[in-house]
Amino acid sequence: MVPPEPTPDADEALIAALRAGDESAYEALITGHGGRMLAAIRRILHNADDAQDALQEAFLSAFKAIERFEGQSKLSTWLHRIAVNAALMKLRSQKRRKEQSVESLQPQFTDHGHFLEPPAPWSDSAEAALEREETRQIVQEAIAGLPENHRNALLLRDIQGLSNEDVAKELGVTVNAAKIRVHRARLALRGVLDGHLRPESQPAEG
Amino acid sequence: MNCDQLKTHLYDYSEQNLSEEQRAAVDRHAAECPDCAEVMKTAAELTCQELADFLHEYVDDALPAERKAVFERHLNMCPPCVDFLENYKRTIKLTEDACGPCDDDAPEVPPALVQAILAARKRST
Repeated sequence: MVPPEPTPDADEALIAALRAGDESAYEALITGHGGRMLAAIRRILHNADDAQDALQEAFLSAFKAIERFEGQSKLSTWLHRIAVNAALMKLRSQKRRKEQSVESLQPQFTDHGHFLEPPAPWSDSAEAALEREETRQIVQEAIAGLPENHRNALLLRDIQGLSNEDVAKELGVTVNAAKIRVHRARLALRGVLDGHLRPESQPAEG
Repeated sequence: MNCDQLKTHLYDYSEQNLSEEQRAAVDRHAAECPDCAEVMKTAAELTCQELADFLHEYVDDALPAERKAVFERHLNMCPPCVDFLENYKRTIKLTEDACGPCDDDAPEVPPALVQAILAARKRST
């Protein structure tokens, strides 16, 4: 078991120590937060070595970015995002997936505003553990395939549950721009998932 | 034309695929049938594309009451949009399930890995 999640005050002291270059603070960050980050990574990367690599990547990014951490989100939330991103990037390189254009995955409409390909209900066989795990992998790969700015918007809003206003602050854009970015990322993801979850449809690749 | 026929023609009516004659028959029926007139009004006030474009606002319950009512009238008569809305909500849920913070017991970072990360930091600075 890891120690309980550090309190905000403890985090503040830790961040100050990291910025001051205190060697012991780096170790404290890893032991205090690394366990939860590793758990999040393991949901995406099932190989233990890959998961450890991703955790190392995540911490190296975090150490570099700690100067820019503004404390709008909790330290644990910020680290979770870095960990998930590191895991998704490793997944993407393993699967040799190219980044997918968000534009090409948007729903298409006729000139009069009807769906070009009418949506259909998705299969709901998600109760079976095996299928749930399969779907989870499809979703993870699809998120990994999004361009960085859409992926980050989605991470902040739908994975970390930030408000539209907080997503906008984190991304440094207007609230409206943040909302649209999240919406378009969801639509793109829906487009990918539609290929897998539409009844009787065959997955595009094995 | 009866009410059922009007409904089956509605899509082609708004896509402007009907002959002049068929179109006139739809209009004649709607002029005499208040229920169908209402259906046609609903079909005309919001397209599926407009609904899809602002679906995030609907899902966030952020639309003004009047606009929300327009969305709901459209959903009441448009099964594809109902499916689209369900797909959209499920996408949000699946995203959270796939990468969200997990409440499982977090593992301890193996001491050797802690040391490896610290060593990697020194190499990289």
